[in-house]
Amino acid sequence: METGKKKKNWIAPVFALVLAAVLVWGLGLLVRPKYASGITLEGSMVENWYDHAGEGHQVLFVGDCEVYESFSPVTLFEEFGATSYIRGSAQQLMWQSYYLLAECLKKETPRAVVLSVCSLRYPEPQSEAYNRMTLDGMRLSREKFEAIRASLTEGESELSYYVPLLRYHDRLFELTGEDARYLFKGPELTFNGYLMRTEAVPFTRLPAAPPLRDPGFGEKPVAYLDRIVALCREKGIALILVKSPCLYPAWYDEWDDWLTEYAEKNGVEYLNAIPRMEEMGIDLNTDTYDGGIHLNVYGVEKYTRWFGAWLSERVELEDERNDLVTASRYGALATRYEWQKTEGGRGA
Amino acid sequence: MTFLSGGFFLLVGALLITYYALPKRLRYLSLLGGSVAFYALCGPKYLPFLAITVLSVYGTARLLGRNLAAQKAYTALHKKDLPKEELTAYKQRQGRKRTALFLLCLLLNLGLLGALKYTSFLLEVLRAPWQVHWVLPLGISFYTFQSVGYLIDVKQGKYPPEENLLRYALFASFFPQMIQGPISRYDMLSQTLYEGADFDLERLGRGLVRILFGAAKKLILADRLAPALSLLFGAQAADYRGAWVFLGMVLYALRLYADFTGGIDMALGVGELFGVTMPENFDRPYLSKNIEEYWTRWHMTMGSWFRDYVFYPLNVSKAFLRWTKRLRGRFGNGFLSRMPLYTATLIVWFLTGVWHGAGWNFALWGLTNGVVIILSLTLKSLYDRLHGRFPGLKATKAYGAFEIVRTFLLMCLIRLWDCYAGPAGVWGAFSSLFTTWNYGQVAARLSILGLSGAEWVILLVGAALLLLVSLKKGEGSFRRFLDSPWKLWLTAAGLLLLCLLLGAYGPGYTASDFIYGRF
Repeated sequence: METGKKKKNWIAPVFALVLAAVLVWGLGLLVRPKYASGITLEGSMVENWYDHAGEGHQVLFVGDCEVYESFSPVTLFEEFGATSYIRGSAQQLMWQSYYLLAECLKKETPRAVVLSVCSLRYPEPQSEAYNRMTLDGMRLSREKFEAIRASLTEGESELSYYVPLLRYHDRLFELTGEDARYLFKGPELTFNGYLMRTEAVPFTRLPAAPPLRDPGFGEKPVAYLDRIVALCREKGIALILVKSPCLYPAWYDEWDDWLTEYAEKNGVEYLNAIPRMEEMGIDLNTDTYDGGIHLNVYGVEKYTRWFGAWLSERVELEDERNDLVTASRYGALATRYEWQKTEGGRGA
Repeated sequence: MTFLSGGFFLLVGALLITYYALPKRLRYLSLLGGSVAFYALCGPKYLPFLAITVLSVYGTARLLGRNLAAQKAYTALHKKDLPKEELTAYKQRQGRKRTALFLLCLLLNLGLLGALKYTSFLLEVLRAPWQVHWVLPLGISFYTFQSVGYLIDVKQGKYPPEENLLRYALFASFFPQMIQGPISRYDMLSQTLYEGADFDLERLGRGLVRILFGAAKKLILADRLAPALSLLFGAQAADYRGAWVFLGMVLYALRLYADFTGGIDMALGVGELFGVTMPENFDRPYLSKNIEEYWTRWHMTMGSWFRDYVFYPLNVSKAFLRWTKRLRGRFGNGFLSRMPLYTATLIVWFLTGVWHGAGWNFALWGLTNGVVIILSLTLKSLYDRLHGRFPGLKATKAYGAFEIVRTFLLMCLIRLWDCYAGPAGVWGAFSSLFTTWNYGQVAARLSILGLSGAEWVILLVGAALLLLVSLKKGEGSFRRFLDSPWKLWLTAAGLLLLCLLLGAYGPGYTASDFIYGRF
């Protein structure tokens, strides 16, 4: 009898604990930013990949805006029949790229990984806002845990990455319909990771490049680059280090030399696309959306076509245009893509 | 480490496991270990200072206790065979020995407190050509006072000294009361501190509810107000006069209450988890009808400490009794004959002020309290005569409410010393209440305080709930309400959610430590 009473004593606290946990989780889902509109659409991109994880892409792009605003998987498929996905997010740092790639490679083994080297310039975590846009969308895993540990800026709470309510509770009074609509799943605004921009803002003039202090890169990003090289080698994946044709921030000759030497030493490809812009046919009057910093959809398509050809010479890509399932998937994507291209704006 | 840090909750969680895993008689050791760990995590450099106080007070108390016991045995043995004068002389000799020991220990501990807390300020006052920046150990004012109180009690033979050093060390360093009290008495705290509580789910739940209630007050009300008050009382304070001063002092009263009582709730709640009962520190102070009553209901353990260990001993000291007698003989029972009482009051309030911190503002805050109390004592006969003319007025609810509001506003005004820098700042703010007539404009410009409409609603509802809880507490109904496990644990879950959802924390808010932790 006494034991039965003791057992009953536990029911209320256990129930309260479970209820509190469920509500903390649910409210966390409600208040976390959905990145469905406004200027930070990039925040939902990392999460989107999980819906495509089993598709078996031939090419995986990893990195910052120099991949997700530079390559079009739709164009790559239409021109070369190669399936691809971009695992990118805003100011995605080298260690974040490593952990996102490691997470991807648990689900698929692409023929090539194209890594943006732009973020090598950042030796340390830069800002909490960018961290959030990359890390919040990751599902719970060892990679997420380690990516968080590597990315924390001073004063950031590690726990709040696992309990979003701790970070976003002050959004309670800013909630909109989007927060309810995307409660469980963020919006898909990209085309296999490509965030489309259709505006054309001609190149005029960019700020002068500050003098270079260090001809090399920081210890931390280089260490993670080494890990990416090792990971791709272990999986038998061709690794392409790429500097996209974005003119700002400045890309120095010394960095170019460093990467050329690094690529040679490690048996990987390095492509600096800036000097090849003319060859690609990129016109800075019509092909950038922000005066030369990033490419718009027209520039992206030119770059992707050129890059696809360049890649085909180095990596054996399979033409999947005759595969019914894949072709139909990309057909649907292309319809949405063309619609967005005509409608204009950002995202999908 | 504050009560609201992840480290603190981890420490308490780990302690709960070790505490209840140990045999009952050893459970206090887990609390001692936790207290040392807490203090070390706050700053290992503080530990030697705590150790000095623990060892010196423990050792002195043991010697005092031994001396008292020996004196008792000697007098009992020689009560019949020695003349009374000789016994008296013996007692006086022993008394002097004890006093010397006691004073030595007092000097060491109060000297340490004084040196660490006030040297820098004194050098500044004396315009010394050099400055010192000594470390001020966390909670030194609290543990020193608690230890000195214990020493005085032992010297007076109120109870025998604690013989076990570890047990005494736990009394002096029990971690929940380290940051902001309460200041416990040994005879009260020891009843539950060493007992080794049985595991009791209901008590755990009650402790948790108290912790979360405290956290809610701190996070939802106090910390939300902190940025707005920094603006009103900060570097640009001179731009906010008149109605802003009024609004600021009322909001500060709310913040201080929510912050301090929140911290004490958390301390008492943590104690409750381990079955340790610490004294209450507040009894609905903002419902007081006069300043004397207020000080018996606000920071009660500090007030009673000063009353029992400074005010009473001073008032019944030979010098003060002689002074009173002389004045009575000369002036009868009038105002002047009460000068010793007023002097003792002012001394106590000056000490209370400087206990809070080294600075003129603290001293003047204390003295202002003393002066107002003296004035109210002096004018009491006048009030009584006035009320005699309107019999029944005092018993009305309206008059009761008036007294409560009057006392609240009076305390707000005295607290201006806490808000503004220096007498000029305080005077400027105080005088503007009557000279800058911008009361109509403030409502339209409230947004400059950086609080959104929703935040004002949270503050108003929170303040109303606090008032309601205070009113209900008088009937003891809040604890009675939690009479079933379901109510208890669902309240805990609700409070947790409220803290997480409505608390002011995270980016944009600087985690503000508890205000009383500074003292």
